[in-house]
Amino acid sequence: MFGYIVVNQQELQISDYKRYRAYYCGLCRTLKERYGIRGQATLSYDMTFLMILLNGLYEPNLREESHICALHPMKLHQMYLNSISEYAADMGILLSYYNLMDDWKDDKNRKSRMLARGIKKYFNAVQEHYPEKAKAIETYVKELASCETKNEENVDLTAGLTGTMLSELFVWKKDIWEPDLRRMGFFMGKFIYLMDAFEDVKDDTMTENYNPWKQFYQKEPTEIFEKRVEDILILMMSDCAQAFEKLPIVQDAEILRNIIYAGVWSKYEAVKMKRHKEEAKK
Amino acid sequence: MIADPYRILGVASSATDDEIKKAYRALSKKYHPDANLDHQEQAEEKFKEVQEAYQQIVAMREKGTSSFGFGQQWNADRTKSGYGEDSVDMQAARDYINAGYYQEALNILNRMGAVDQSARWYYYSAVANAGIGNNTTAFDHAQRAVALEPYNLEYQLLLSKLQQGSSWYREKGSSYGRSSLNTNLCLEFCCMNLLCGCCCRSF
Repeated sequence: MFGYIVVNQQELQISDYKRYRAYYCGLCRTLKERYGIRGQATLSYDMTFLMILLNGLYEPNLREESHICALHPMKLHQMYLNSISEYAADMGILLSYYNLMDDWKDDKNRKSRMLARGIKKYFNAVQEHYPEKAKAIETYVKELASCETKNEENVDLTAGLTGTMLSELFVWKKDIWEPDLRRMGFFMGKFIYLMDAFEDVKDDTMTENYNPWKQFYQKEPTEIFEKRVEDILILMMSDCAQAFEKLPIVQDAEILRNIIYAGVWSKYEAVKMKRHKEEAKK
Repeated sequence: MIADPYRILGVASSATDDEIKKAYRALSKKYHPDANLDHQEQAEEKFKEVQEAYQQIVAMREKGTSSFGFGQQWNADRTKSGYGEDSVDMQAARDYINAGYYQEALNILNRMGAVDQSARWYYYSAVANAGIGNNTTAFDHAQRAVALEPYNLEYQLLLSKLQQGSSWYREKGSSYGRSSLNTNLCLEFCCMNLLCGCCCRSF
């Protein structure tokens, strides 16, 4: 997806950071084992989060392995692997494929098409295994396109599409935790969409592309606009966080809270700072 | 319904959320069907009971503190004096909301939207939007209802209920270093800390 769901490393204990890395490397390893180097390229922090969340909720056995990785060949890396890393890897493949195809359709980016073709056979296999999840993403891509053409002004509506899609991916098993997982995914999805739109609003205004923030960005002074965005993003994350707190998660709860309460804002602050600097230059 | 869910989890009713989660983990491990292959059926029954007890406690506690969001019950109960003032459409919208049919309520409200954008209309719209997870619209409409009728207690309550979640989240964020991410504000924050250091040290 977009890589907003990251840790706030400064505030994470070293032992927790090591565990976080082990999940991340485990997901990377799983992708490589199942889908080769092309699959490995779909590795993301978003899916790492999902992996830690589901492991916390279900606590299945974690296989601990140590491997050398191509990027850092001098060091052995600790990794956590299990059926959930496989699930997260599969969802990553689905998301990446649609994302690449979308870029190809939108911008006629040949590189995207080439990359999409590279993972097409894996995508087909995952799609067959998880038809509901694939369908949810496909519907999402279609409906988002129609919202964009209509120039939809209701922020909840466009953002809700990403929310609905992500809520489907958060459900690994159909059981009593499904409603809370869906709620988490729904509001995190809305957050991701609106965060991404915030990052792009300047470019989208210049290129006359659709962006749900544009109407406010053009009218309001920077401070007021940023306050509006932040208040709405906080609404999203607070609903997401409340659903999280209802789940009986103890294992790695501090890593997850670090991400939910602080880490997700890393990109937001970076974007804001970059924009302020640019404005100061003018 | 379980008569005493705390007893099932083996904790006191005064236990913290964290203690309850830990108790749940220990018991769900003990009774997990995969760990009880000899008497799987009994274990599964017990496992389900533990899950139910946990959920029941969460639901009970939520009512006590801040409980909101979609998938949960949102009510638009009007005070008795206000009841008779609602138009037929408005009554229908209210009934749908109270029965948990938020989308249906919104359909009615949106149909009448052009003619009647009273404080009451915004109030019901806010509740129904919150019910389906349209939290941005819910917040916006709650604000409008309050702006139109600032002295209405019900509208105020709804707005503060919606605001509560945000301030709770902000507070949690500061304990996970949300503020240290904001390098612009960082300096200001440090200064404030210094100033506060003398009078409100918490250790």
